[in-house]
Amino acid sequence: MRLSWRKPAPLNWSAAREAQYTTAAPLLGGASITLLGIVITDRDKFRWPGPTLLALALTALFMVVAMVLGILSRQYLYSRSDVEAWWGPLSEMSDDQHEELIQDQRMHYSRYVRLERKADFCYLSGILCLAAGSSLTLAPPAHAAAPAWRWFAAGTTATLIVVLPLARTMPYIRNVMRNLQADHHDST
Amino acid sequence: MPPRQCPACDAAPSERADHYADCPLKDVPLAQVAGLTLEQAEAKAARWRA
Repeated sequence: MRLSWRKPAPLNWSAAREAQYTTAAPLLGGASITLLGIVITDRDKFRWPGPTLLALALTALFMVVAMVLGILSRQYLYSRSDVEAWWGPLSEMSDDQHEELIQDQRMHYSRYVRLERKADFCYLSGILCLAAGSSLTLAPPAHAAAPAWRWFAAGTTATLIVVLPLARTMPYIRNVMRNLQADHHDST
Repeated sequence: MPPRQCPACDAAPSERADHYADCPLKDVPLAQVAGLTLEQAEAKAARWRA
């Protein structure tokens, strides 16, 4: 089987992920550290300062790990034109060398996808912890005069904790259903 | 999360219904091989063709 260069699907998927790890993750991690500082200095103004601090500290940790993994993964993503830029025109290469470069790129692309999966897991976990942390921060303190709006705000933020994992798992549930249908077709 | 892709032609079921035209695994439905390694996909393709 003659195989070709690997590519992301959609093609600009990697550019979108790059923005996630170089822009969004540092900003969200930084915001959680700022919030962490506020909760530490004004503990008595929050209903549950301990769990809030834990959620925010985990957010910062997950975002930093997502950033590191995302940046590590990037070194393994390159295209055919990158190979040509470093090695010279592919048309002037021997078939063996051409084949070896394709094999390398395929192996590196697989490594890139594995690291991206881990980075994405950390980023999603960071978002969930940030939602939990924000929700805990918004919960009104015990002595608050009119806490209804604070509870509403806390609840709204907390819905992310349910919605986000559901939105992320739906494509996989659909994929499992498709595979089951195809297996059924296969066996009949 | 990276989309699941065919290991031979890189088509993703989230983007299109079928493999690209010159894919060596095009006999097998895309959803069956998406996300597998090339070795796993080849084994599955062999079972499917049999």
